[in-house]
Amino acid sequence: MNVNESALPQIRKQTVIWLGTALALFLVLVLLGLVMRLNQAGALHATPDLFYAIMTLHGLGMSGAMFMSSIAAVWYLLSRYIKPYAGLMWSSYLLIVLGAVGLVIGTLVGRFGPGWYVLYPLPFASSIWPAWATGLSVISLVLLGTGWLLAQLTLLGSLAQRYGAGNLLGWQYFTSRQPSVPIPPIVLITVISLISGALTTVAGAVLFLLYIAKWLNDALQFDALLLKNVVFLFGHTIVNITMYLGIAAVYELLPKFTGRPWSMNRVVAISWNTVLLFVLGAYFHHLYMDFAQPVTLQYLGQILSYSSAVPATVVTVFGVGAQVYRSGMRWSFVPLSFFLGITGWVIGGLAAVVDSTIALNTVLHNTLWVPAHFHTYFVLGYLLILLGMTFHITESQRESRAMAALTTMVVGGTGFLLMFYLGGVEGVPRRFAGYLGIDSHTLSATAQLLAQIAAGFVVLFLLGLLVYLAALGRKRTAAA
Amino acid sequence: MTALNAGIFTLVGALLVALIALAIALSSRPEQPKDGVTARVYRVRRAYFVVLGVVLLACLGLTLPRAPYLAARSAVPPDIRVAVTGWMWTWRFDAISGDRVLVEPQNLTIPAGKLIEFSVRSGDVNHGFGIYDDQDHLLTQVQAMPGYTNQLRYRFPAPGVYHILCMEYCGYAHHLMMTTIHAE
Ligand code: HEM
Ligand SMILES: [Cu+2]
Repeated sequence: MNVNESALPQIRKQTVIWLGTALALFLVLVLLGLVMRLNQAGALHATPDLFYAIMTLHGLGMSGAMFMSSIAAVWYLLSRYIKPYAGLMWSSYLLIVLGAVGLVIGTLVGRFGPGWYVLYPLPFASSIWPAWATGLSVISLVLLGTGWLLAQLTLLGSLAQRYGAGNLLGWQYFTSRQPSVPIPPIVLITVISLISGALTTVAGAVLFLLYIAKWLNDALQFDALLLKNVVFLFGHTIVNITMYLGIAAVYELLPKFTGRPWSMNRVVAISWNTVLLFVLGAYFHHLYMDFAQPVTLQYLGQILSYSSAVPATVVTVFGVGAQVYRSGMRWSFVPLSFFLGITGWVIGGLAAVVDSTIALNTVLHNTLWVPAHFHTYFVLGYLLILLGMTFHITESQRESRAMAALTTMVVGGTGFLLMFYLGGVEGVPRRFAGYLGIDSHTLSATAQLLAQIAAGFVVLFLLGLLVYLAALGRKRTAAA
Repeated sequence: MTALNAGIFTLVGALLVALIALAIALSSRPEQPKDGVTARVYRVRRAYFVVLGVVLLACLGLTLPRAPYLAARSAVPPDIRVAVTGWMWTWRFDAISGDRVLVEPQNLTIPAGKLIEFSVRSGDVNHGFGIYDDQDHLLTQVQAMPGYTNQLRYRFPAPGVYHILCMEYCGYAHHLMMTTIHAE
């Protein structure tokens, strides 16, 4: 049902600008990723302050760019159902861009480098970067957070306007097969994601306001364990719901290619409601090595992390299976990138579940295993879905070029990730500007070698990315 | 449980997932009407749900007891107590109790095979106390957090040199923050 036919071209244009911004950021941030790997390989010699500033920008920028793209895509897809508030979305865009510019200056110029989760009290305890860099970066994070919150609340508000707040969580499906207010799966998944997103963004905003207070008055002291909980509640959730929003888009778009409706029912409703609980509680697995954390929360972290595998695979993976099996569909670029993206997400999820096992976390925590698993569900998961969505939304036509790009990126990405995993198995710590200082010679040699091989694969990945960008847009035909 | 096991398990799992994905992708043809197909998919799903539930519960049952927390809080006294403090960017050891402990602030010598309790804290930002053996296996770790003391119990399996690396990013020289422990 198309309630906003006339507004669509406008919204499409706005979406394309959001997606274009996100992809441009992505390209630059992959280059920074390559710089980091080359530095770890010993081929570049950035000073540690520059390396860690780049690392901080890469991490924050990637999480932000990916989240921004996921919001834009579901906003576009939802605009068929709901009243879009283009003005509010532009304000959000402006805040995000301002925040991004501030962060670039704070990190690259000011050398603000406490890492993407800006763990208290490192942003303040460093004599490496000047106080203005801390202030500017934290204020930029507040701007970013405000922009995200605005976009999330705008979407939630217009969804509530259309369906009634009481129906948004799909509880009407618990009791009835044919409820009086039906909602499509994309609405439910978006709502689940944005409720957790908005709540935790508020938590993140409070955190960064405390940071500003501390920046203004250094005598203030906070509880490091409490703030660590807040940081991960926020960071873990934002990163996870980016993936969920991508999946919401797959629920909406894959049926266009298989020709089969992907409808709501009780199982879908119940399982996505459990996700709300799991996503908010799973972050405890980031604090396993903080033995001062209450033990119950530690065990709860593993139980909730394991549990999140249930709705993810039982409902989404089998849903994809039911879409594809005997559908007679043609594997063109868009459905193939969705399909590979879901596969990558499941594999990354498996590596995450392994890491969320406390007994294994003692040997995997803060090794390269950690970037290995979350890069899996981004580089081979969400990103592939994003490429498919963007291709679809921009009505691009260069199929074979896009297919070649996809193949190259999957090969390059897999090799890049494999080196992270091997590093994890070898116990190479994450976030090392270089490995030469390690007093054990074999560990440092292994770590360097893996970084060298990884850098080669990243170059391949980048080539694929450029080919993909060149595949975007409509073909110019002589007749037109 | 070692990192190598985790790697092998994940690799096998990932290959399995990839195979299943390939099978699903190839199953798109020949085309059949959705109604008959859905029932078939749901039957498999029910079986999968049960199997997954059993597997997850079994893994929880097997792994949760191996968590290090209860041992760290055990009332049984350790053989030796050592205080460890992380600073930007060095480690410092102080003996609390136990004989045969040789402590220089930067270098610790302890007996192998004895139960050591490390009381780990930080003098500034967050650090991570990671113990590697001489073959570069990460054996165990715990965070060093300002304002808190994390108790880690460990028995060094054999005499030799053990390397300590920092397992929490702590700024400029994080990658150079290391020391050694000698077990004899
Ligand atoms: C092919 C593309 C990419 C490359 C080459 C790359 C490379 C890297 C490298 C080398 C690191 C540092 C690893 C270490 O700890 O030693 C890193 C960290 C990180 N990356 Fe990526 N990355 C890529 C894509 C992404 C994507 C898509 C995301 C999306 C969320 C992302 C988010 C992060 C985050 C959050 C960190 C952690 C930063 C920190 O520790 O503070 N990366 N990446
Ligand atoms: Cu440190």
